[in-house]
Amino acid sequence: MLLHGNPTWSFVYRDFIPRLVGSGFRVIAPDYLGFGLSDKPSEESVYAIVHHVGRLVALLDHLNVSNAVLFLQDWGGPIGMGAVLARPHLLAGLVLANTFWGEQSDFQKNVPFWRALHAPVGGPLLLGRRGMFVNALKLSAPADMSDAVWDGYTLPFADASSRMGTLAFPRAISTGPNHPTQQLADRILEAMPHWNVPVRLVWGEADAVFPAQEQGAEFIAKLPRATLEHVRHIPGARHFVQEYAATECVQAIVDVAEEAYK
Amino acid sequence: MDLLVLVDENVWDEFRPAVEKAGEQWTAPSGRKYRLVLQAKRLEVYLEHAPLDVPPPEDLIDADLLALASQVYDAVGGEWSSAALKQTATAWGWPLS
Repeated sequence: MLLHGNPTWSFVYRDFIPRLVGSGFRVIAPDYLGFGLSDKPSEESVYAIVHHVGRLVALLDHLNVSNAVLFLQDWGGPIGMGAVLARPHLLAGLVLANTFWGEQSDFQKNVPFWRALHAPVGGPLLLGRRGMFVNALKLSAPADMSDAVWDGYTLPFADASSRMGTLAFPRAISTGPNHPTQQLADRILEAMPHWNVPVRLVWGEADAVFPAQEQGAEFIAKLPRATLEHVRHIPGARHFVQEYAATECVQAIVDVAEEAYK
Repeated sequence: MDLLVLVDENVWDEFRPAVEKAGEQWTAPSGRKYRLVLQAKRLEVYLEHAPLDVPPPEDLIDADLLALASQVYDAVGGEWSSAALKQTATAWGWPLS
C-alpha cells in the first residue's frame, strides 16, 4: 500500500506501480479525499486526520486487505499508521520515507513562515487562491522535473476550490496537547514498539521538513526491527524522495516484502 | 450581486477579535469594498460587486485580500505581523512589489 503526502497524489507512485506489479505484488495507491482524482469537498472538517484514517480503513476493509507492506511518505505516516492502530492485522512490513507521526517537526516549530502560511485569512489566500503549496512542490522535487510531470502533479489542484485538502493538512499538524491530531500522534508513538515487523527507511538527506536525524532517528528508536543498517540515505534528495529515488524505494518495498512473507 | 472570494472555516480563537475588528464592511486600500461574515469559526469574504460590472482580475482581489490578512495579522500581534506574512508570501513564490 502506497500512501502519498501533501500536496501530491497517487501520481507520485507512477514509477513504483508497474515495477511492483511486474514483481507479482498487488498494489493499492489511493488518493485521499481532496487529492488526486478523489472528490474535493470544501468543508475543512472532513479533512481531519482521523477522518482520513477512517476512510482508508473503510477502503481496506472493502478490499479485504491484510498483511500489507506499507510505504508511507509525508502524511502517509500518520494516516497509514493510524490505519494500523485500527486494523493491526493490516501490517506485515513498513517502508518509511521522509514521514512523521503527526506532531510538529523542529522545522515547523521554528520557521516563522510555516504558521503564517496556513493561519486564518492568510491560509485560504496563500494556499487556496494562490495555490502556493502546490506551486511549492517544485521546491521539494528535482530541479530537472519535466513539464509533463509537473502538469501531472498540478492537474487535480487547478483552482482554489480544489485546494482545501492542501490547506487542511498543515493545519492538522499537532501543535500541542489540545490539538485534534495529538491523540493520534500519541497513540502511534505508543504502538510503534509493538510493531515487530520488517522495516526499511528511505530518506532524502536534503529534506528540511523531516530530517533523518529527527524523525528518522525516532522511528529507529521506537520500531523494534529498525536499525541504522536499514536506512537508505538519498543524497541531495528533498522532501518528495519518491521523485529522486524510485528504484531505491521499490527495492526497499521488495526487501521488506521478502522478509515479511518468507 | 456580491462575489464570494474567500472562505476560512477555521478562524482560530486568537484571530477572532482581529477579524471582528476589521468589521462587517471592509474597504481595501484599492477602494474596493468587501463584506465579512463571521459565524462561529467560519469566515466568508464577499466582494461588493454590481451584477452588470465585470469583476476585477483575480490578482487585484488577491492583493486586496493580502491587505486584509495583513491587517488581521498586525491586529493579532505577537509572532504575527504583516511583514512576516508578506515575507512568507514572497518566499513561497508570490512576487510582491
